Amino acid sequence: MNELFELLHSVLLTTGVVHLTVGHLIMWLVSFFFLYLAVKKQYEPLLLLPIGFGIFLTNLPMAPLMEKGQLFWIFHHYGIEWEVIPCVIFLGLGVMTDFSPMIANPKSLLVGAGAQLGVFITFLGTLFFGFTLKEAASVGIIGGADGPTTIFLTNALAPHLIGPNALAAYSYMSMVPLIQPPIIRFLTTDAERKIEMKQLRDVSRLERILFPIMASILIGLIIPSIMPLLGMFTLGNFMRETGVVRRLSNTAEHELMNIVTIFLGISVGATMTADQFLNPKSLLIFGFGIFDFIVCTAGGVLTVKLINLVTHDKMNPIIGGAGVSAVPMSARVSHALGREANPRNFLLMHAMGPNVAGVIGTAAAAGLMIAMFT
Amino acid sequence: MEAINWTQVVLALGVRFIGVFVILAFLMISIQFSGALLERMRKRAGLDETAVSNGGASQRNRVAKQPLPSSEQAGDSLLSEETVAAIALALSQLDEEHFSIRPSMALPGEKPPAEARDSSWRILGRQGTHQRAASWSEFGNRRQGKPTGNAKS
Repeated sequence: MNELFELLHSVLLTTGVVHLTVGHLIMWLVSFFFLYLAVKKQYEPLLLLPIGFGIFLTNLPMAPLMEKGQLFWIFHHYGIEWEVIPCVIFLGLGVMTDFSPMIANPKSLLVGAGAQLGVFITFLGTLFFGFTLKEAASVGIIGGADGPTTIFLTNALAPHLIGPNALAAYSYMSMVPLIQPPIIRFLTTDAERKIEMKQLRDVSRLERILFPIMASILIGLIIPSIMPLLGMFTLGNFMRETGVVRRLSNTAEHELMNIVTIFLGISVGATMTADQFLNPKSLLIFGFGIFDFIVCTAGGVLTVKLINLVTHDKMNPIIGGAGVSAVPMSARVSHALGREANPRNFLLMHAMGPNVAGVIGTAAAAGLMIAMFT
Repeated sequence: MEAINWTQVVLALGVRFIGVFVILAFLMISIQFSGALLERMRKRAGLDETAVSNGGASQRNRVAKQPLPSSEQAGDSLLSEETVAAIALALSQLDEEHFSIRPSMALPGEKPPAEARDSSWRILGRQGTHQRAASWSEFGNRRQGKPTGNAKS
């Protein structure tokens, strides 16, 4: 009889049931929340769904997923730790991005820079709450609203925060239509929101081809640390604009992007085990994340207002919000707000300028942060 | 926990924030410079083409020496956007009424549905196609010196 009990006991020990903790259950709830956002609310479902399911699977006790050499560990190790996935995603983003609105209105680059204000303010704020300098830098970059850059920087400086940082970045990116309008309305007058902008000039193909080369030289020489990310971005854009490698650019834009998105989602979700995630720092990261987004939006709007003080061609300050590089969501928000104030206002293309400038701005900020610690 | 030198941190962050501005400002200046350069090259190439089409080196020199028209003057000589849109609309309507071949909305061997048989666009489309076919055959006949269908009747 004893032998039978021992046998049953040993069988029971191999199941997850006896190893299930309250932490696991809480993480299941967290994963279900993100799955709900992805499935029901359709907030960034391409990322929140694999991340949410990754959290769920990795918190099944005894499941051989995240130990060294196991499936999710392999995805995470070779994809994230080796910094492959964020860079490959940037290749795809480069192929998808049209820089014409930014080239037509180069001032939008300054808006993209101004919208990085939150990154630096949040850096300071997190230090007050006991984050280390490297952790503070990784949390600050969330406001740039750029997932791959957040993951790249966090992996370089504070790899233990990848889960909460990436999740906060992607969650708030999907909530840009809820976060940005009140801030923009608060910082602008009705008359400012009604400003109609001149139609953008045509940008020649040669200009579009030259841009990625120019950007690579300039940024590569000043902040070489960000070139794995930005170099892939400019390569993708060069492939797009030259138009001579349609097969490659199509692959980078669709199949490759979809494949790495799956691995990215799972890998990020897999890092969020109960012992890693359930601590006050994770909650603080979510709190600072939204603060970061608010300050970055304000930074963009205020930069446009400053530029308007010294230039003749007035820009609508609403497009400052698009400096937060949640492409193209924040540009759409700007467009919708512009139409709300003045139905004749078509700000979408004007807002795309700061929007893509924001991608470069966030990458530049991340590069400067990495350079600060190396 | 590491001790934080707040003055140093604030300064470092301030410098980096300005650094982002400086880098993107450099990029902005590069874009503006290259854009202006390419625009100038494009204009020059356009002027050269005009000169060649007018013929002769002296003509080319004369054209090159002429001051460029201001944007307002150039705008006056061009058609307005509304005019262009009106012409485009008229052309597309003309195309729809006379030159396009309408789908019959039925597979070969199938009877076309009622809305396709009786609707005005089908009649128009068919007429257009027939008219075009007739006019092309007449055009061919005329070139070959043959009597046209109209002449026969």
